[in-house]
Amino acid sequence: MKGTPLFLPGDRVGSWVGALAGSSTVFGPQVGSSGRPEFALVRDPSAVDLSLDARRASIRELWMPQTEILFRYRLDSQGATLEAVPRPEGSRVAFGIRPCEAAAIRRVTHVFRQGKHPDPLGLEAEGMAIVGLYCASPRRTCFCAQVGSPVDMAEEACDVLMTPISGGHVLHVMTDRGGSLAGVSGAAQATSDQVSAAGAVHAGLITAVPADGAIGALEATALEVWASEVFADQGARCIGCGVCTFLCPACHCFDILDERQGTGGARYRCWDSCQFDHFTLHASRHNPRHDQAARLRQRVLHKFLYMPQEFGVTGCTGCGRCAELCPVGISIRQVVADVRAAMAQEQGVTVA
Amino acid sequence: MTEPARNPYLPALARIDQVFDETYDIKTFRMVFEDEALREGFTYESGQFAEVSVFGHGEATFDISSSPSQRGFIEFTIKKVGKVTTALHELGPGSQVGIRGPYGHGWPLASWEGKDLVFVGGGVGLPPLRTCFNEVLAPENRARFGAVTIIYGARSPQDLVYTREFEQYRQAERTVLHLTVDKGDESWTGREGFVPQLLDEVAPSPDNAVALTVGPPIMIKFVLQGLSKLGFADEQIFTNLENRMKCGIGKCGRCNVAGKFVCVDGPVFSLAQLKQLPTDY
Repeated sequence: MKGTPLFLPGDRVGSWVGALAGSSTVFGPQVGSSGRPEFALVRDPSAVDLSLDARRASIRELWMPQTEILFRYRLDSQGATLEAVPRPEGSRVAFGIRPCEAAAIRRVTHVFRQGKHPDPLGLEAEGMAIVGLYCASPRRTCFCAQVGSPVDMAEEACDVLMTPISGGHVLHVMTDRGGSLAGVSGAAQATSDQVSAAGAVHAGLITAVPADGAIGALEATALEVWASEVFADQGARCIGCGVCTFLCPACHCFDILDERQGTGGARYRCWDSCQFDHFTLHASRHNPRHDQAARLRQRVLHKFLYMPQEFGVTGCTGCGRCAELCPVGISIRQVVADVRAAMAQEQGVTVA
Repeated sequence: MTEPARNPYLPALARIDQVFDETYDIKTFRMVFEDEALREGFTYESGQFAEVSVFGHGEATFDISSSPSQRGFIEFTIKKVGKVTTALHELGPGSQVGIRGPYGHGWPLASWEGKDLVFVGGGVGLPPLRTCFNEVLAPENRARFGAVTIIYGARSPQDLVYTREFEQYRQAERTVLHLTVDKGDESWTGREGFVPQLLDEVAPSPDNAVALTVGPPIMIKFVLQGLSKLGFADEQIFTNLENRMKCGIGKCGRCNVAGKFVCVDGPVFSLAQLKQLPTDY
């Protein structure tokens, strides 16, 4: 693990969050108004609880609110007056998110940066500092270590990584921005025992993730995997609820809509899902992705084929939310593994 | 020093200048930007598209149907089919709209100089072809291109668009217009039948030619077969994909076809390019 290791006793986390919140807008895991753990704006530093698992809330809220006003307009007899909406100001810190989630946040910025027309609203996530929290153990459907490595993801995306060890956390400071954040934590130089303990936690997670095969980017063309029966088989079970995409930390697709309010209104964007039938429905009623198999294929190939081809990274970091919460038990990990196995079989190669 | 990043979703304000009734459910809107500098300075390639707003109703994607050779206004030809198009159809001259664009890549006209051009359109698929043949037929451009053949059909005589312009195409130099309707009525004296059949009859030569086709998916399917049968190579055949779009700039994710975004990498594709892609369109 790169970076300077520090040690912060467990009882000092709250005061660190308080110090960060003094100069930045901080988001962290808390029990939300619904009574469930969520990742939300920190108003009371003592409410931040790193033992919470904000599993049923999407981390996407941090960089793209579910509903985000793009601009407002006032209408009168002369026409419309467009009004810009103030964007979040000052520094922002995401505190205590997992390496997989952190990597996902960083990776989607490729989408918003690309092309002739970058989207500065979507790129604001680049300015958000991330204090990552390494997982002591995987959840049932986690597969970060199969789609990459949680250590690499932490190094890719975090400014500071916290690793839980006995009595507190080892902090690895990975960027200059991370240095400023850790500077107000009161953490001291970590001892070599503490560093070894953190190393054991890093390795332990990787060992604990079910080791039934790596499933990185697909090395194929879209045409080569297009007709795979895996999509038809798994897609036949899909009910199109879209929970997989709504909870995915790396999904970014959105709709753009208007809401009229009296003599004015707003144009806003809101999360949308490639799993919905209307997503690609033409005005003529023609629908290129006309069934759930085609929509599942889009979700899987976008993350494991198109994003790797365009940006060199998978659009999935193995957080496992989609598989955990899918009402019919579709696992993206299994779909990719099956597609890979089918490709290997076609090429006459035995997969280890 | 970098400029402050601009919100790419902010449209420019424009006014509807004229409305042409094309059919019972299709109108052409001539729009003029309110900002004078933009009105004079707005340039685009034929085949590009834009996002048109009706404030309070939303925004939708339309090909620009006027020609880049025409300045001071842009036109969109729009069928009343959904929420935004219905709102647009309620508007008349003087009404305000918003426009973002132009987006995407247009027809690669520069690489077609000296070639014969065959346009094959169906129904409301003609607008993205009209922008191109009107550019080619503009006096300042005409000499750069060979013969122009326009093959166009619709379900009925009432569904043909730009009928008011047909005479000028008939009179145009080195230009032929062929029309058909699926089924005529008592007033229709022209040809009946589908567009692919008319293409077979006209049988344009593929020699030093390119073909552009836009229309309903079923027409495109048979037109592509017909063009191949006539000897057009995949590199000589172009179309304009109509995938549903929202952002127009490769962010919202819905026009994705494999690694391509129709809004960014298209909407114009050659058949050779399409054959490298799965049929997610």
